[in-house]
Amino acid sequence: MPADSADDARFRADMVATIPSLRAFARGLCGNRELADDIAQEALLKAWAARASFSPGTNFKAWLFTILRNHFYSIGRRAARFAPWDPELAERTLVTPPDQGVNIHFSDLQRGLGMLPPEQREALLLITANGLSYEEAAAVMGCPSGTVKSRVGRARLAIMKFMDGAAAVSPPGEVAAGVRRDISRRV
Amino acid sequence: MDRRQKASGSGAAPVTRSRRRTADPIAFGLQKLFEPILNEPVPDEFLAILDRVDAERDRRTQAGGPVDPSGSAGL
Repeated sequence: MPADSADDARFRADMVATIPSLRAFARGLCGNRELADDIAQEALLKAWAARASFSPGTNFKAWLFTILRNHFYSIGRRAARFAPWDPELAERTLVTPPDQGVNIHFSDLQRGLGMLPPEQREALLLITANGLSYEEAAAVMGCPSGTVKSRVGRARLAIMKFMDGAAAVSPPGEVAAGVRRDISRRV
Repeated sequence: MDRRQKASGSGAAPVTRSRRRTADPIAFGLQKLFEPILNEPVPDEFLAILDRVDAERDRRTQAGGPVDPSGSAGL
């Protein structure tokens, strides 16, 4: 097998291994299964086309996420319209973190994720759900790592407040508006 | 414990980060939220796309023509 074929085969294997993470990141960004898979498939094609630009030894997952993220924003309003309710993901209703007395309702978590500005949502997803370092996430998002930290902090605070509010009787829209007002006062 | 992990060198950083994330209810919830997608088998259409790209590339190579660097012609 020629060297370039072997490299291509390895590259392809790495891509296939990263598909689940790619799909999950896309789902987190747009909140819609079909659109997320479309975006992930396009990202795979673009990655394959740009494979010569990948530097071996660097973070392959972060490189693929960068391509997906850029494609997500390039398709504009269709992708930016986050669907805050994904029944397939939210059908499981409760999860309890270990060693904590905190109950998390997936539905509240999803709605909280949905009300975040896109730049905070992607920062939170990259750091907390996908395990990227702040530096890796900064490379994906094209901003300083300090900005990533700030966005993650604001996102976390907003979701915590949203989930606190969701436990009360306020309708989700009012809670979201209240959280936004609170955040804008803090920023 | 955190102080000992930080003092033990750069190799300890991922462990510290991981533990911090697990202790964070938001991170824990998000990881659990997307866990089913991570555990799903890769859908056939994803593999089919890569197969079609490979097939197109092979066809062009065998024909002696220029290889579309994107490998995505006709997709």
